[in-house]
Amino acid sequence: MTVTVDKARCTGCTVCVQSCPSDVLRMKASKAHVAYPESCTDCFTCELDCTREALKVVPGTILARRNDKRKTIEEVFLWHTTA
Amino acid sequence: MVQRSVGCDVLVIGGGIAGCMAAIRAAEMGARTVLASKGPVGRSGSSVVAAGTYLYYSPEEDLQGYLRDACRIGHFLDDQEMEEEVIRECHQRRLDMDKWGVEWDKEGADFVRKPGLGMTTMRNCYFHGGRQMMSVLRGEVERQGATILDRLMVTDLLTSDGQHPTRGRVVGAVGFGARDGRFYVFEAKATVLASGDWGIGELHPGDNTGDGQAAAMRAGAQMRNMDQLGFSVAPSAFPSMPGLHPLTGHGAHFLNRLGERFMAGYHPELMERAPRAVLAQSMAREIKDGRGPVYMDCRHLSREDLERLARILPHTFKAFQRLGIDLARDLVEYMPVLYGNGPSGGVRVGKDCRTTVEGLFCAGGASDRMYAGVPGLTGASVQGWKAGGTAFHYAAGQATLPLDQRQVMDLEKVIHQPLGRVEGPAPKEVYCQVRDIVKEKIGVLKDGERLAQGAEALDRLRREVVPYLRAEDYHGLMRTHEVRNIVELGELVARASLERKESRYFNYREDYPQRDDVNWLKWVIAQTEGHEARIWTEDIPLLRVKP
Ligand SMILES: Cc1cc2nc3c(=O)[nH]c(=O)nc-3n(C[C@H](O)[C@H](O)[C@H](O)COP(=O)(O)OP(=O)(O)OC[C@H]3O[C@@H](n4cnc5c(N)ncnc54)[C@H](O)[C@@H]3O)c2cc1C
Ligand code: SF4
Ligand code: SF4
Repeated sequence: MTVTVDKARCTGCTVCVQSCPSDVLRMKASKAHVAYPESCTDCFTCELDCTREALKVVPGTILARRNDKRKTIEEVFLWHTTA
Repeated sequence: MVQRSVGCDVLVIGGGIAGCMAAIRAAEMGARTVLASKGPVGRSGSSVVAAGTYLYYSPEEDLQGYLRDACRIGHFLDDQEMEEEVIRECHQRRLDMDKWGVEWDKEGADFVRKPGLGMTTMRNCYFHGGRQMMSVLRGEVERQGATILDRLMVTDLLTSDGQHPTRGRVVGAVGFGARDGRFYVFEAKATVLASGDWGIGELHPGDNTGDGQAAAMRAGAQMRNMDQLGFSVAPSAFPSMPGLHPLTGHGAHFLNRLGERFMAGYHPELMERAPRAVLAQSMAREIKDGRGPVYMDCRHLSREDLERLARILPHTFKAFQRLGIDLARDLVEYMPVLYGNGPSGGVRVGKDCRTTVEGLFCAGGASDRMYAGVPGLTGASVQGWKAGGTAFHYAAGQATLPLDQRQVMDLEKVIHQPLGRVEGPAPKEVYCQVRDIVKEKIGVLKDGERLAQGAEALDRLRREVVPYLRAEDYHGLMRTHEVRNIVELGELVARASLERKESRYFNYREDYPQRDDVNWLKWVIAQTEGHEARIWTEDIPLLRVKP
């Protein structure tokens, strides 16, 4: 995962949850929580907006996504005929 | 699902620099203005990740020289009247932003000015990153009293005749809350699309999936230059990294595996500061011909230059640090990356930002970017301001028309359908397919046969897969609608690219490698007719500068 939350540092101010362009982050038990890691684009907005240095982005989601084991195009087309 | 109706004079869709400028202008003139944005206003789109350069022309400089530079960079695909206006007016927009609090890089009282990619006469100035700039703009939108609706995805435009494509005019839009799924109906006298460009990952923000362009296309607006799919170059370990203009502007070199500054062979005059299209195509050629990997080399830059770069590219430097890269010591591996149709291509607009459909205006990355040779923020700021003004005047002369309730109901159904499906492909699966098709079949170095295969594959996805997409929650619902738009526009890009039988700007055709100024000083135009896109070409008027 490319964004991590240091729960000990997070004060639950919700700034990052408001500022993530791709809506990756949500609140859970009063702390920031990475709810949709696959939507992250490594843009660093959250990390730069957090005044507590509780978030850390390590560039990599886009690369990881490129190497994902994917369905072939036939498998995507076939979903409804085999279902 | 609960419905919320919002009435206004001017509806602005998209909270980047173009949308903020449009909302500020319309509200300042007295329009009841609503700014709805999928990503939060001021924290989304290309604007927030922008790399700190703003092309700026001051009135004592050489206007004709600027125009010549810009037209050369964009291979004469520009509307030269509009380009001239953008160059003239960016001075005023920069003064406004200065007044509102945007921070610029200065040496004493003077702006630091350096040439950006492809520039011989033009000069950029620098600001302290897109976040600072966009926080200021959001503040100004609030100060002018426009209503902001964050996390609201607009999906389609409403039309006076209830038809798509319409013969009437645009009378508002529909969308939904990306967190609560709530259905929104906007009744607007004038609608400004500022929803950014179309693209798919890499050096391209995740929220710009061409939603506004696709909605405009469905509503019958003409699209122009859709054959221009932008590619750029970025670090292989971090393809979304901004900073090419400032890094090359400060003297970064590119080396191939043999240690050669290979750009000498492609653009001896400007080398690494060649236009972005030339850089991406040259790098792809080096790699294809076996001279990769290629690297960026900044080891010779002065300490002052590296310090300035760190100020204007805060997030890039943070990422380098995280990846263990020290520019004073290390080479950085680079590769060509997808950049979307930001550099040119989108909804056709005239000088006053009117589209070809009445009641609909467009600015910035969503528009056809008829100032191809001018960097994005400059054009988007000027156009956004203009669109806000034009929309205000248009709205002042219009009554609110009753909505076609049938169209509203149909579009609501389209929005929520994917939630009701228990089976069907997840948006991510289709997203991966499209990305591969776009990279492998469209690509930096194009070819007729591959383009035709790409268009066909995307056409099949559109017909056979997209209608069955399944969403698990509201976040997934947003993704399904994004994927639909990505597929529709991807197919249009492939078809439009096929239309041009020469190489120009970003549309480099290996099967037609020469630029042909005799037969191809033409725009590729597209418009929905019935259920399909009709594509044709039009001569480009060369009113100021000739090749
Ligand atoms: C990494 C990167 C670096 C760049 N650096 C520079 C630079 O240094 N200098 C420069 O001049 N240009 C730069 N550019 C280009 C420049 O950033 C863009 O041209 C410019 O920001 C476009 O502004 P915009 O307002 O038109 O669109 P954007 O800033 O892209 O904003 C689009 C907005 O629309 C919203 N939206 C999208 N879909 C919907 C929907 N369905 N409903 C509602 N809202 C929606 C988005 O959330 C976003 O708020 C860069 C681009 C990138 C990608
Ligand atoms: S901005 Fe920082 S402190 Fe605030 S919620 Fe997010 S992680 Fe926690
Ligand atoms: S890096 Fe960007 S996309 Fe990823 S979680 Fe942070 S703000 Fe969101």
